[in-house]
Amino acid sequence: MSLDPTLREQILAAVPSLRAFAISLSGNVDRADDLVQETLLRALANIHSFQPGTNMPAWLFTILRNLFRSEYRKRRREVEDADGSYADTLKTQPEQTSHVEFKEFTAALNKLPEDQREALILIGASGFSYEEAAEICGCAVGTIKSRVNRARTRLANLLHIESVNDFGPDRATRAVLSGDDVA
Amino acid sequence: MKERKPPEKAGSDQSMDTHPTPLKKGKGQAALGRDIQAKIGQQLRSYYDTLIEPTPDRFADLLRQLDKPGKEGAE
Repeated sequence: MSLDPTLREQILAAVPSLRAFAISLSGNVDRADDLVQETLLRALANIHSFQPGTNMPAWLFTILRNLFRSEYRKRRREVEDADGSYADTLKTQPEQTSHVEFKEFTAALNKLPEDQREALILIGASGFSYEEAAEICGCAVGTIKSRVNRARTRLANLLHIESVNDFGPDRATRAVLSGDDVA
Repeated sequence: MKERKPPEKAGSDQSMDTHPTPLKKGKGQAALGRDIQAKIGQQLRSYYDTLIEPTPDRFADLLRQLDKPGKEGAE
């Protein structure tokens, strides 16, 4: 088979995000890599059914998600990362977020029901539109919206984010703002 | 009975003149303040960013291998 170079570029460009999505679904890097590989194999085998000019990332995400879902019915997440220990293995910690905060966030994210987590990630992190996410998940746009809303609400509860005062300035600044004596 | 005063510094949040929490129009009960959504969004992207790595070579190699003309029947 010979692959149009443009398509190949598009596929390769989508891989990093596709792989991140796979990791967030499976909670396991090795498994995610297998998923990505399987996805690429399927994509190439069915490349004739991809319409040039349409959304390559969405197409690949759809394939990967379907693969994951069909596997998922057989076995549950292999690595339950409920305590966020996976976060410890990541080499790059995001700068804006403290380590503890990051761990808490990962743990909370993993407590979400699968469909909510996936919707939230597609919209909030992978950068898809609601329409694209609906296509990827094979459901209505309204369903995606409500899953994302529920996911956000649940995360806010789990993380005890209640108002702007709960984050932002560091503790010392907050103390100043609230009139505590820190000097 | 329903009153839930913050244990510390009651009222201090009202007196703060930083941005108030704007609530999204109340569609259902799940209306989160925009600041909360922003915070979650930021953490979500941080989380995702840590998972993003440059495309591992194995996938580029895989595509290259599969792309060899005439290899179609192999394996």
